[in-house]
Amino acid sequence: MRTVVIQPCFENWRECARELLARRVPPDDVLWSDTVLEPVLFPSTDDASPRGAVPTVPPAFLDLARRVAAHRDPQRWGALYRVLWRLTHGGERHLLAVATDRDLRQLQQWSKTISRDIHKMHAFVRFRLVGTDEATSREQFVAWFEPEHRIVRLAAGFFVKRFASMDWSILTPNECAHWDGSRLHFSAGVPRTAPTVDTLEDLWRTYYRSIFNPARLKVRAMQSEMPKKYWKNLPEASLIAELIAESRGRVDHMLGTEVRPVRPAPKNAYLDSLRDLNAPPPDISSKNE
Amino acid sequence: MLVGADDSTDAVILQRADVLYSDYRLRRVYYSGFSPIPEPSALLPIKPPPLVREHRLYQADWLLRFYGFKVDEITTTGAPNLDLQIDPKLAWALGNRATFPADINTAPRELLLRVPGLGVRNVERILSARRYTRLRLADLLRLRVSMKKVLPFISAGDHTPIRLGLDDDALRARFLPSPRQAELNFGTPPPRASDADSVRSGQL
Repeated sequence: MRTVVIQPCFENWRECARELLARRVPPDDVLWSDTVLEPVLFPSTDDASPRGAVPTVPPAFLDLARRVAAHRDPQRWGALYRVLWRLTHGGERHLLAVATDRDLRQLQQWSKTISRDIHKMHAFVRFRLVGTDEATSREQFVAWFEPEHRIVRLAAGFFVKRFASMDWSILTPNECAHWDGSRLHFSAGVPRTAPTVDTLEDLWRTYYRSIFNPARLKVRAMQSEMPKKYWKNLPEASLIAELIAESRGRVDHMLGTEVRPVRPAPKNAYLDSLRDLNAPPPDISSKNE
Repeated sequence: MLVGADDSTDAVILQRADVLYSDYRLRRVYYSGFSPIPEPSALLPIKPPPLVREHRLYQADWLLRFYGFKVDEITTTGAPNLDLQIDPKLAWALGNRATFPADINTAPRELLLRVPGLGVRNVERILSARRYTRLRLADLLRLRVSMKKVLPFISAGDHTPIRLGLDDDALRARFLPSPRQAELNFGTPPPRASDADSVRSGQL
């Protein structure tokens, strides 16, 4: 039994896993840990096994592993290595096609969680204008977001494409992403910062208030799309309770309003002339008689 | 397409959608239940249609696009509207029980797509996994297939739907939402104005 302590990132796990694979260390002999705080129960034994060639894996596995690595579950490193072992030395090259397999299914579920988290981050990051860079005269924006998993690197590409023309930083507790128009770089996470108030937020709130249709209120569908854990960083979330509360009354008011008759055609000379033009032409044959 | 603002049946709406998909190559048709407006018009209904109708139309739309169904299989001339209580695929399966059970280890893709409870993704997973292993119910559980829905219509390595009543008349009732007890108010009725008079005069 050996303990492998790694940084909680995909690249570091990949290096260690390649090394272990080359030495043909079976998954049951490895204890993965991404925190050094835990005391090592079984100190690692010195490596005497000969190093062989590193086997290759299907590219689909690397994509899967990159996502799974962003998950917070401490079991993920071991589970990844177990599937990796089965794909290579285990002789189950087809394993990725067997979605009913227990190990693979677990990885796919983690991967799905990460995809969902990334999707929510794309939807719920709200930038606030903090100033303008005097040298480049580009507007600078900052957003605070609390993703559930370590997804900043996986999700940042979207923001580069979407907001390429402005300077922005997305701050999260684990990692921060910064874009200056040409280069995307990452820095360590920061504790929660007090958000500054943005002048545009009232505008957005007016917009959200006006697109809300009280006759289509579906609270549970809304909460599954926009879980409550994101509400604290969304400026429009303060409207939700109020809009829900008054929707019933607004619908009743609409249903109770007097029905108006069909509107008569407006009196407009121009429209009348158009109507004349559109009228069927008089019958030519009858004129000739 | 706006649903419920006139008296078009679901069959009419789905046929129009089918024409838009097949003849005009539209990628997507959206259905929106009519919703009341602040200034109601005499031309429009007062009441909105149930929101679930829109949901059933989307389900039927998916069946047309991804599951190989035809419009006249989902809606018939006898029943031009979709069943609001059960989804259109389950409704079709209940009406065509002779097609089932489908063996998940051997059935072709077209049949698996028609099994209620199996989606397109899960059908693909089943097809690729069964090349290497014999599928059992535990495998379907791992794929998060709704067992309640799927069990009467499939057979698997360790399952035959004999006692689940594919021939049973009550099979449909099993998929309906459980009946709810309507409330009966046995409490004292609210006081009326005449009650005060009878108390004062002592007369009933």
